[in-house]
Amino acid sequence: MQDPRLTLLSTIALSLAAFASIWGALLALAWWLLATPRRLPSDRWRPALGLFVLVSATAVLVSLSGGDGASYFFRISVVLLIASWAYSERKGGELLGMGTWAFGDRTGFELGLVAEMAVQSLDGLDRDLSMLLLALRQKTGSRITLRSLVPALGLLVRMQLDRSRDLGDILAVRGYRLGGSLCPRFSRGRWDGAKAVLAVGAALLALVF
Amino acid sequence: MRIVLTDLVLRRGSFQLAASGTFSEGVHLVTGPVGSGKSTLSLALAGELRPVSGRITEEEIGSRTLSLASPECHVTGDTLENEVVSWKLSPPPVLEAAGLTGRGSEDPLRCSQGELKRLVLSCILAREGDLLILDEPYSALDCAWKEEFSRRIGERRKGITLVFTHEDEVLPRVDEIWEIREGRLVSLGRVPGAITGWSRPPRYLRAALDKGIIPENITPGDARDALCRTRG
Repeated sequence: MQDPRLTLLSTIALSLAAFASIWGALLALAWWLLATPRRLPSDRWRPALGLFVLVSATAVLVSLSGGDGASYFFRISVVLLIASWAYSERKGGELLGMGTWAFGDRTGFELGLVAEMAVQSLDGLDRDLSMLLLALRQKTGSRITLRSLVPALGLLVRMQLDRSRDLGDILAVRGYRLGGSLCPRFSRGRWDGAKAVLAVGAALLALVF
Repeated sequence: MRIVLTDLVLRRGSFQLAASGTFSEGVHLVTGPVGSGKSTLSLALAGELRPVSGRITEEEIGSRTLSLASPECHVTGDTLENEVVSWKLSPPPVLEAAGLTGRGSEDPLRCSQGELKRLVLSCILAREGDLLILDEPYSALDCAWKEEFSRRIGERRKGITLVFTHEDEVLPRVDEIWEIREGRLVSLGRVPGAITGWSRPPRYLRAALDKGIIPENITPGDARDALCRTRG
């Protein structure tokens, strides 16, 4: 999907559908199979494995407490699949564009800028973490213990704080105070509209039935 | 001791790099502009990035160390002294080599980037590894320290040393030059013959090459000596 507004709408609709019921999750999964390139993040298997373990453990707890653990596992897995697709679709600057488009040059620009900076921070955190773990392996061999990880995690927080300070300095130096002007332009793929309609339809079906 | 790259293809996001060739014992310069894929290749050689296709074969390599472009990523000690100890080294000689004598109790993250880079490079060069991979070793260093570390890198005769850099002011004495051109690693061969095939040599080498002079090696001193000999 090329239009970030329709991507966001589809993501919200499909997440609601998947969370609402098994049938909604099945519809969302069918949408993912039909409307996306069906690519799993093969280079991100570690965080994916972590999420899988987390969701599995929660599903077991739900089952033990009398709930439907299997249903929970399936629905949340589909929500994560849709989230992974939405994350892979994003491009730099589109959140700022969407915020301004939706809420104008003042509030919208502010919201968009905050969202953009948050996503950039996540990207930075991801890069820093992989570099820190790599550097740590140089010293400890292939074994990374909790004890060796603690200073690295402290450093990670510090690097994030430094980056935030630098970003704040840049905004201040450039005279940023409140809001800003932006004329966002969005391109739209041939099937974007149809895909979004299907996603909203899936959400309505899941919520109504 | 050597590393053989066979039809290697690496990918990071939409970027792709192809490489074939053999790194034998000695100092190798791998050069190319910013964003050409030097860090990608260095990560793969350090075993931190899986190739899309092809393979990396290591022969007789026991230990390897990768120096990252950002020195703060290496820091795990709460003081400069403990940071050196975390590399399993004795602090006094390393701190002296980094120009940080008497500052062992300081917090590494309060140091400047240049100071931290000196410390990390001094630690890494003090470890006698079989394979040493230096990703942008000159970033954040001033000219005097660039020359100092160039000298130390150039003096390494044991093992394989790979210097990945786009530096064009100071370079170490090397045995072979490699260049990344349009997503492909190209071997220029052994120095001094390789210098003439270099598409983007540093200005000081270009000045000599423009006069038809080929320096013995690629340090600023080599270019200067070559020019002086001709004038003499």
